[in-house]
Amino acid sequence: MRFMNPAGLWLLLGVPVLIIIYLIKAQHEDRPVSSTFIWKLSSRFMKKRLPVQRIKKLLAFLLQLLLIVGISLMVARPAFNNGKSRDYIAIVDASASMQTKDENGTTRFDRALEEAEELAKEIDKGHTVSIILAGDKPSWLLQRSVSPSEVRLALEGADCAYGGCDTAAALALAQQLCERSKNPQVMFFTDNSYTDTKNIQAVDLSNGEWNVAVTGAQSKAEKASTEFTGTLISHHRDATLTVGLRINGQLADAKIVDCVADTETTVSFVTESKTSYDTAEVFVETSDALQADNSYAICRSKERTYRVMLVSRSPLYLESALNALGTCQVTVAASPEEAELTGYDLYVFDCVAPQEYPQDGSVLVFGTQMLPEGLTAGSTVTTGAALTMELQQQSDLFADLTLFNTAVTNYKGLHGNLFWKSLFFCEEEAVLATREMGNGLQFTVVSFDLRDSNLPMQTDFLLFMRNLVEYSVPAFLKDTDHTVGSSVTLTVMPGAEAIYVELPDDSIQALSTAAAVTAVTVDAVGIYTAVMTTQDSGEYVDFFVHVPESESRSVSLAELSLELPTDISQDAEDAISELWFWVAVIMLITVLGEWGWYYHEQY
Amino acid sequence: MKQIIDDGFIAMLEARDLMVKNPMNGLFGGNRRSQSYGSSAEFADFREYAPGDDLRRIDWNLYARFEKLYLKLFVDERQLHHRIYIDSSASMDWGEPNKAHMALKLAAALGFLAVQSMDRVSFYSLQENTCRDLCRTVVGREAFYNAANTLNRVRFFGDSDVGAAFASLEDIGHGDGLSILISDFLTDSDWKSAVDKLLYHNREVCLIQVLSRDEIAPGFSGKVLMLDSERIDEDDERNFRSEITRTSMKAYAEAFAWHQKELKDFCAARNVSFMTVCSDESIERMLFMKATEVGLIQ
Repeated sequence: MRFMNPAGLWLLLGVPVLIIIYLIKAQHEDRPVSSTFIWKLSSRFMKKRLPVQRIKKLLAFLLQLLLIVGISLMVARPAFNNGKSRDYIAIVDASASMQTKDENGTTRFDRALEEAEELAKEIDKGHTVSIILAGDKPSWLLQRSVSPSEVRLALEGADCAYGGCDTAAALALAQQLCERSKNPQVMFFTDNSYTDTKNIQAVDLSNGEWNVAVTGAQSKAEKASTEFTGTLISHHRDATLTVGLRINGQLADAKIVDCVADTETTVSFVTESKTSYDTAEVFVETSDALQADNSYAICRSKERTYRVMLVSRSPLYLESALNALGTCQVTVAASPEEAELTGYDLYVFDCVAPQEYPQDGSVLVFGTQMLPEGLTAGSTVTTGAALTMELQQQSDLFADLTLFNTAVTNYKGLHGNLFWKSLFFCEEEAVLATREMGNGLQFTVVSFDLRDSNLPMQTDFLLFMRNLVEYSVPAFLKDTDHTVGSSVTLTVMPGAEAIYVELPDDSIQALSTAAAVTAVTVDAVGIYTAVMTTQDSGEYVDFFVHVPESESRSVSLAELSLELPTDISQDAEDAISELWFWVAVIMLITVLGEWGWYYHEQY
Repeated sequence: MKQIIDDGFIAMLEARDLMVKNPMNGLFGGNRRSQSYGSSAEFADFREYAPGDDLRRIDWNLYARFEKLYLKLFVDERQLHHRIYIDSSASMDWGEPNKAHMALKLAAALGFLAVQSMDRVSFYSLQENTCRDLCRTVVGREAFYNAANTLNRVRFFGDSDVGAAFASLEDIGHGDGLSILISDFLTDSDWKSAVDKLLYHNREVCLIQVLSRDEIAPGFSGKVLMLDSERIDEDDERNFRSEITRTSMKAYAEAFAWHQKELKDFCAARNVSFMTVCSDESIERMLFMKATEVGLIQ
């Protein structure tokens, strides 16, 4: 049982109104008369009432109630489902490519919504409509709706994103509903074409629109110049394009480039001098179908200086290596008593141990003089074993390292609890273990003295130290190039008071500083600025978010992977039968009954 | 209240007279023929002389013809005293046209007919359990006009107990004229004892029932609290709460008919004239048709 026009049920409000009227009317109306003598006398002439006649008083009221209900039902148009109902499931591709406009300025997404809205008409035939918005993270706009207005409202509120379309996830959502449905019909409104859509009705909304995309950009510093390179592609047709370079928001150069259809073209801009910049943007000046992919920015990471406290009686190797990295500002102390154990990013204890390890920065300890909680060391091994990496694990510590011919003569095997991660080994005994201290800080223990190894003599030593420093003190933001829909992770540095991100539309999104890392999901194209403030100073990093490369063109795919129930009827018949005839009959009887009763009572 | 009489009203009544079926007592000098013989100038009959008869009334011409003594008899003419009782309760001040106006007009008309026949007439107002003489005995036209002014000032209010009022009334006359009671008789008070008392005193009694149209056929429905016009307050037991439906209207009609029949049967059993008038009927129809039919006016 359903109602074709549920708004008609508002008329049922007449029922309480009628009841109120009856309650008010139940009070006797004052009526002056000359004498009540005859009226009192008339009670003798009243026929004795049978019990059943008592309900006659209620009859008029019941008939009026029935009349209101009948009118309400007539307007609401009740109908029952005859079992032929079909569940239409519309998957609307909401990826960036769906924002491609046609000649009339209508986007593919708009056309998809129009097509989906057409399904609302099927509701009047007794079918249901479900809509999945398929973006980076597909979600239900509505499920099994039986209200056309609800469908329209949901579609009006649907927005197309700048990310990709997770087709598999969208189809998985549809699959869930299909498993509960007897007669599903899945329709996929997208701009990709499929060779085999199985029993899904895929509607290709692409129309061969011309689109130019800048798919990448990079810079390369030469001795006396800087070269900026951009790659662009013109889909579906050859084009002569104006390509420009903006450095820090100012136009620096522009070129006219001939592009062959669907072929990647590289454009280079070389500056006359070495250029320092925060952002450089390669862009195409054109009015193609999709504007979001017409530029690509390079955001240069700021070089960071690490404040390092090195506590060592013979700091030769370590001081040299740290200084050689060029990113460390090293302060050397001969003993923990002489060292200032606060205000540094990294504390390095070389075979010495303080009474208490500092908490405001990462700690790197060589030797096993005082091991932190949860970590123990075995007895000294003096076999001269090779230093190896635990390659089963992924770690930034291994970057670029080979450790060829690197050996350790004296070491102790480290044994840590679950919080400790062993990354370097000698003869299967862990010699480097690390754990997170919180706020992204690392506590790293190397269980041998550098002087008992040939590592400082190896070229890998600098890389090892660079990795150790960068691993111990992670960057605020590592990567400055992201695609829409991705989650950008920011490290919450010690002392961070606030972290926020300035979005391309100049709005600000504040992020939590409670955990060691925080993240922001980017859903718009453009240059973002991540800002972290501390009590003394602050740090900011620009990063660029671009449209996924796959969204700049329509693609042909092999097949869709959804298996629907096999017993799908192909014909969509009207699934409802309206009860208007019977309601009309009841109404007629009620009206006649009410009319007859009224005249019987009054005349 | 509108004036109850005017010149046209008087002119209309000039040729009419109150009809008294059995005039018996009364003051001498009136214009009403008695059933006994008197000393008027109008010859009535002869009878044989009996010792002790007045010798002056012997007809000597007949003695000469029949050699027997006969007395010459003359018609006896009396002046009657009619009494008109008007129910002045609030229920009479009702209806459109007003019942009270009709009652007063009837009283005035009958009063005029009485004084026109050289009779005396008295008007009484019945209110609560008292009977108040409105203007003493009226004799002659001049006095009647003064009485008519008094009738104009009668106020209708409160209730009336006709039986109790008559019980306390000492002078109701004895066989010397008509007693006319004008009321709606929509009461459960003992008005019948009043009629019996009048009959006991050999009064010729006439009951005139004045009703309004909405009393004969009420025109409302639904749940009502009927407030009696003679009520004291909202909680008066005379008020009546009911839901007026087709059934109750039918019962009302039956009750009304039954009440009317009771009235008529009562009057018929006692040879009392009775007529019902509706306040929206014309006074001419009352006087020249209905009153004539019941033998009140000739």
